[in-house]
Amino acid sequence: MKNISYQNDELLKRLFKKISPESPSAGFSERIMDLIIQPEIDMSAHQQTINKLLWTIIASIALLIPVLFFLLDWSFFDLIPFSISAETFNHFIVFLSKIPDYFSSVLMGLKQYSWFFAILAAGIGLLFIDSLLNKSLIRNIFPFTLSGHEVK
Amino acid sequence: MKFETDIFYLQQITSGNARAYAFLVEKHKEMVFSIALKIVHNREDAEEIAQDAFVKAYQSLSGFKNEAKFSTWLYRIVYNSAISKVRKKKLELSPLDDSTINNYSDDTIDSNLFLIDEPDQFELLQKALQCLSEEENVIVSLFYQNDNSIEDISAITNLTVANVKVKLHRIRKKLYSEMQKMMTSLEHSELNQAYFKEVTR
Repeated sequence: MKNISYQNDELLKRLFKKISPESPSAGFSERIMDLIIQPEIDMSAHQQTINKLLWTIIASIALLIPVLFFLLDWSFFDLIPFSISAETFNHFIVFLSKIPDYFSSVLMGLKQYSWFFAILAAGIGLLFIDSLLNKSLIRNIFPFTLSGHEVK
Repeated sequence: MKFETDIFYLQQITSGNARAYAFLVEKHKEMVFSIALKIVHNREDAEEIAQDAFVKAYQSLSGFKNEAKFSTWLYRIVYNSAISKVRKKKLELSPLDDSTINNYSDDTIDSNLFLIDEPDQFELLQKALQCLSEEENVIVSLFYQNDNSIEDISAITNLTVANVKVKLHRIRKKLYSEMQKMMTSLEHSELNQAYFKEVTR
């Protein structure tokens, strides 16, 4: 017995070999592979087509168009009453009665500036699609957060 | 399932076949899970630790040098993660019970242990293993069950080679001590039962 040490203890070796190893639950390997492979698919599937500068230009145009359209051409805000009196109330009623006319004016404006709206709609549409592809709508809705192939 | 060498799968992964990692997971999942389970004593926690270890190992593959075995590197990751988890829960690893071990010399390893049937020996061992600390359990399993070398165990547990040798020596003594104690108490109870039968007869 004296000559047996931990290195050549055949009894322990034999008994330990009989212990069946513990197994994790079913689907363990699949879950790990899902965690590993998923981000790679996302990275390869989404190649951002529009760069940061172009997004900034599109967003600037999208912001500029409504400003030019409403404030310079139509003087829309001049018609809003600022104090309540019989006269201003009368003006306000007149304003309300003219709302349907404004809608027809908007429609006319849409026809007149149709290419502006086409750019605006296309820009917003592209922004939305790009954000959806990145799966992070809020973070990517602003142009300055859109860059390269960053994985969130 | 027959597996190729770890190096084969690692080469597949580095050449772009990420799915080859599934074979490495399948090959090592039981030992990785066993190490975690021996330390945390909870299947859910052990599975989470094992899963994190595999993901972490995959993400760090670029930093893996072929100087060490992949399995050793992987076991080290899971061992450290499990130890961290236990420390977070403030469950200190119990140190070796030196007083028990030192009172038991190599010479007194009872040859009676070799005379009993293997199923009985196995049962005694299973019970004796419960007396070991988490660290001891991992070390002895790696050595006897998984055939890891002293150097591998040293790399996994971050202990020196000399320290691993001393620990293995002590663990063996401790196991035999516990097995002997259990066998003696079993013999006593059997004798008592025989005596009781004789008296009642």
